[in-house]
Amino acid sequence: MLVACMSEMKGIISVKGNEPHIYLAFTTENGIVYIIEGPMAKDLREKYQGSKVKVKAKVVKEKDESIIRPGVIEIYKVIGEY
Amino acid sequence: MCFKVLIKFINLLIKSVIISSALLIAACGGGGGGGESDGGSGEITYESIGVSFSYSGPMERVYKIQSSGNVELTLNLDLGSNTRTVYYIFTNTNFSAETDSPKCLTNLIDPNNEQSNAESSIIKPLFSESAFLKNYSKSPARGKPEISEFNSNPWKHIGKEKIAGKKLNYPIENGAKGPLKSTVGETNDFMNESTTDTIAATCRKVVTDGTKTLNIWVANNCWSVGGSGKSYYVTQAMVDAMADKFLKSGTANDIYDWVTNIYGSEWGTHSYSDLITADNNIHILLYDIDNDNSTTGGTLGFFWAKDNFQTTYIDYSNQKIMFYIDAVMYATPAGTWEISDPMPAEIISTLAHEFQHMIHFYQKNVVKAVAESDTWINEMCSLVTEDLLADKILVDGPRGVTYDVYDAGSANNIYGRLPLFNYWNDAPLTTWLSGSDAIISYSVSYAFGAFLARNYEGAELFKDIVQGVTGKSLYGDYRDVVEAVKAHGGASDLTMADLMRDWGAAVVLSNKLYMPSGNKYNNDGYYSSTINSIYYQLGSINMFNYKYEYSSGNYLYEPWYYSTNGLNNYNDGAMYRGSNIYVKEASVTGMQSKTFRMRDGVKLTVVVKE
Repeated sequence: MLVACMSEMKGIISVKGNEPHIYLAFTTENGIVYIIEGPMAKDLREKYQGSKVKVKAKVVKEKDESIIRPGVIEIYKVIGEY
Repeated sequence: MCFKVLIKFINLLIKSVIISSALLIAACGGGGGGGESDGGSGEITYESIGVSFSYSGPMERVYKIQSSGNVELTLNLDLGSNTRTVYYIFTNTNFSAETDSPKCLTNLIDPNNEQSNAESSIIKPLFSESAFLKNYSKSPARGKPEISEFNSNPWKHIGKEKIAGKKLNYPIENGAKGPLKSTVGETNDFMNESTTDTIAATCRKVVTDGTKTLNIWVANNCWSVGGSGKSYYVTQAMVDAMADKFLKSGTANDIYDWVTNIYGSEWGTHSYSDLITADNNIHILLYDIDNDNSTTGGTLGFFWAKDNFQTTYIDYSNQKIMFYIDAVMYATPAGTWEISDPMPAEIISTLAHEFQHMIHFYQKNVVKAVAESDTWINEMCSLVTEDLLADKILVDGPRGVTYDVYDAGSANNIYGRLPLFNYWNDAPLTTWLSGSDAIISYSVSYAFGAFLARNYEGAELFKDIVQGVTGKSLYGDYRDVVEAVKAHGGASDLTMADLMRDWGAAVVLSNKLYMPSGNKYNNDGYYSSTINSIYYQLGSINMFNYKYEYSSGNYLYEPWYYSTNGLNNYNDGAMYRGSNIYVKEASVTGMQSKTFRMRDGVKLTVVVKE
């Protein structure tokens, strides 16, 4: 399911997985994990890894419960830390 | 985050409490404190608090000072007539944000009170400026941190467009249909980073223990017959030796048995449609990783979960439970090739390391259906697995001490992960650094994991970090560590902040024997733990035994520390999230009075050593 609308989301930014195939993740307050894609990802990792943030983001792909892979979001703006 | 040293020092109203020889000191509140600019948004206020205690000796003492909020903490430590070394360890217990680094106001108002130790006043480079990046990028590594990109999606080729029929150059038919074990002489083109990036290989060994089957493949260009362009080639004897280490008949006699006994099975049943089905096969592909023909360092091996997926979801999946090992380094001899030679031995340790990753993925993501672990936890588990198996696989682990030497070894040790940790002991624990700096994160994660394993029941603890404590949720972050520690001797109200502080104390106490639980690294022998009658032993660690050349001709022989003056110039005034800063004063006596300015979340632990 593709969800194109932008929304505000709250969660933690972290690096997950094992080297070398690690990825930047956004874990929502209710535990849903998304892979972060998009041009801001590198900057988010360097500045906000470990941070609880409120962001403006678009869900590119929702988690499908029948498969293991996480959903995907693209973050456009960090509104603030909380 | 610039710490502007606009000090409006206000003499402190201190209410002191003296607790002699106490292990835990509760500070009492005080009166007005100082203030400083926060860079424009207003003045930060600090509450003045005070704490006093008398050291009665003769042994080591650890004082965990409680405080909350922004504080100016005045500490009166009366050593009496004793001459001691005092460490002030600052912990940023906030894992979500950097903060202003602590300051020693005593030194700010008395610039002549500088420490004589020139080394401790040296300001270390920031990570990205580290000389280490330039000089040590070819150090042996598990995984391939040097090519990691953090805008990466390891499943980036997943998508319905694959299902819809994107042409697969190398479709593998057997994966999702109950793949059978391979046969010696069988060939396959393994897909690496895409369907067109392939490795032509031949199966050179198939061995079973009655339940599991190990299939070892060797890239054709790395094989001793017909290979080309490599410094060394893999022979049948080398393949046989690897198989013998990883899987053979009998119980508790190979890497497979020892690692699965801790963490559980590497693959099995599941309910996900995108994953391959279990067939009790494990595959190892030996090839020249990165095609660098390196015999001295680089990437030794890796596990990549993409191969656990069906090609309908990841078109370059090999549809095998497998990991990758560097062939050239495995074949690199020291004289006549022996599996105990340095590079082959490192490769064997890598098998244990990567196997933990393989199991971690299945047990945590698939079986427990939990978010993938934070990288620092996953890598910590693999590093401690190497540690736990060192004396079983007969390879010196990340401790860097000979595998059958259980005391802390000898001075001037340059091996293992800990020399680098000693230099970067103020790096963040729960943040995984990028690019070549990742090797710093490996060292910090190992140091912390080694501390946990030696204080809280080793293998049993790490089993629960991966599989979860019965009745407790798993999260994929530091909470999994805390819950596991609580289940293995930690206090019921223990927090990650407590562990960070205890760890800091353990680091500086590691040249002392028989420290109390929670501060141990070194008992002059091994620490043991048992799962299903398999006994795991971890050797002692003395951080003061390691030697690290941090710049040309300059060596570090102990955990890096700052003077109180150096503290005031720390890292542009910023303290990393989830990190410790060590301040040391050697050979002090009598009353030691210090006032430290600390932001909310920064905690002070004081260690007095003989």
